[in-house]
Amino acid sequence: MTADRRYPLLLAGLGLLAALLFLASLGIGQVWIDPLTLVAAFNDTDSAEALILAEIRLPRALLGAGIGAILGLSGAVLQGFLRNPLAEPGLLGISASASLGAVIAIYAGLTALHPYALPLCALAGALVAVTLVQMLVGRSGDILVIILAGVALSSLAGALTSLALNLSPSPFAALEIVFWMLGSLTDRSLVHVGLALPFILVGGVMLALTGRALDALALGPDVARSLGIDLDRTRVLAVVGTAIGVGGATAVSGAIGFVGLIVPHLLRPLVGHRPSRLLPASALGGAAFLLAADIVVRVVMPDRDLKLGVVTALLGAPFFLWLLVSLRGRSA
Amino acid sequence: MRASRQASDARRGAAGRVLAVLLALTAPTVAPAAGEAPRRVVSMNLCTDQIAMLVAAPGQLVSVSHLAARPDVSLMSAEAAGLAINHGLAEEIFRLDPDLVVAGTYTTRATVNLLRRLGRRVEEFRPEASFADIRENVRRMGELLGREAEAARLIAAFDAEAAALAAAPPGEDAPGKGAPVLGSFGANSYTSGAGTLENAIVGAAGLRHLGEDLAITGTTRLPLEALVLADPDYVLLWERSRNDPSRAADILRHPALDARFSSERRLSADSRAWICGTPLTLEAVKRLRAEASGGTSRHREATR
Repeated sequence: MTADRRYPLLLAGLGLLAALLFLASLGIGQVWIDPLTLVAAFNDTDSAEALILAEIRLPRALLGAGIGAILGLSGAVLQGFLRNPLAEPGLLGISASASLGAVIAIYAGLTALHPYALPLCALAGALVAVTLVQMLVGRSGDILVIILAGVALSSLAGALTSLALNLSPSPFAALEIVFWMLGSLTDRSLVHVGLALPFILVGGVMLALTGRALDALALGPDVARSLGIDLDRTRVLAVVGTAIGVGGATAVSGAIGFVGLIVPHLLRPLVGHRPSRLLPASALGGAAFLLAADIVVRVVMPDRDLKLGVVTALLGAPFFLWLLVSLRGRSA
Repeated sequence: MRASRQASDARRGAAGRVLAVLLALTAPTVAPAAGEAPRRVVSMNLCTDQIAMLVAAPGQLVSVSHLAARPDVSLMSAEAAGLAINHGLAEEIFRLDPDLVVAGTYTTRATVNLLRRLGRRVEEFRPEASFADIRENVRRMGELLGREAEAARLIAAFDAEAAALAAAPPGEDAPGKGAPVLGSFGANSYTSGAGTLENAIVGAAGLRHLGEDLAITGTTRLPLEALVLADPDYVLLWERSRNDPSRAADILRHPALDARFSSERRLSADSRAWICGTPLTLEAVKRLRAEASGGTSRHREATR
């Protein structure tokens, strides 16, 4: 019962945290601007400060919140649906495959034909990966299988991304491998928000619809079926929702790992281990986590363009190892 | 028994021959006698390529890097068309049998070291960061190639042209405090400051360099936020980068840049004349000055 009463409080707290970090993300940039000047900028829309706020920092904060939310949410759904604690878009190679799709769209000139080619190609890459993963590990809950499938997919997608960039005539292409592997929100514009946010919203809604089915699935697929859950519909929602959401996000930010792993695991004990409750909490928590990581990037090394994936991996990789050890201890 | 001893003898013999070849390869071969001009010169760096093409006698330069033949980065791609193209790989350069290899100091260290181990003479050129460096590198290339007279002629022509540019008044503004400020903004938000060739070109065109004003040395990232706040009179964008589809060049199409810097405050430059310091670099100065004086008066009246 305590978890029931705590749950609205938890959601409110996470929402407040995300909102505060959103404001902090607007206030903290690569150059320091007095917050009072920033507030004054609302009235003087011609000033440099107003321009920085509206065109440079706002898109960054919006993308940080949206992408963090979809990564946290898809992590929670994939863990529930595959009934595997290590499922996460980054580890499963879904983000890396979306990056590959985005790179192909940019360097094959498709984005010059239509801007939406970028998220659509990333979506296609993500869809291929998430379908493959689901086929490979769908039937077994074996942790080893999912890790190996993820390793194989990530390195294949990474190698093909590298190949596509090496084949491109653009002089900057070869240097971009870092961005697509580690992700960054630096100097994204409202154009990118317009490209990514619709996909994130549609994917997010589809993923949120799986909540009730995930509750039933926690008791096993047979019980779920006997409770009247349509597992095929759930599969479509989880797979396509992840592809659309993570595809749209990765198209503008590159592959950002570990958000979908850390956030659901941290929040699961707080929501009383109910998958349906974990979903909104993970979305809010993911938004807060990525906004915080993006602030760290700008505060620690403002002029070095530190990649966002470096920060999430520094936190996420030790967590991942700890999780592996504790899982092995539990199953032994 | 005998058969096996013969086989092992044969093996030992073969191993000895391989060893002898390896030793021969690692021992430095005799360099051409001093004073004798090299007859087969290979260049493996875009900047040494262009200086060598300007200085070398016909037939003396046998190969330049693949970049020199690319019309989008090299001002001398037509001249490079008749030469063998190398990709800076030790094996292909060794096969060209050069008696002199010229490279940049940043050319892949592994290749340069390997060529030296193979007994080839490799001369390295520091990238030019000033007009004095251009003179020095042309002079040195002339000396190495035994073409001192040609190098001296090129330097004299360069000096005369530079002096003529310095004498002509740069638009209506004299260089110094009142000169308009120009900031360069490239792919991945890179800009340059003091101690770079870009700084020398901008100064020679009679403009102040934003990088220098911001106390930047060398080439570094300038966040878009910082560029918007610094608000230079002109932003210099590389015309080739602007149409590049890459994510790195995305920043050059950022709406904030469009909103802040109207079209007459944007200058575009042909990066080919800026990449390497050669006598051709003065083209960059001329064009920059022409572009800036075209928009100066209009912009100044509008903003001050």
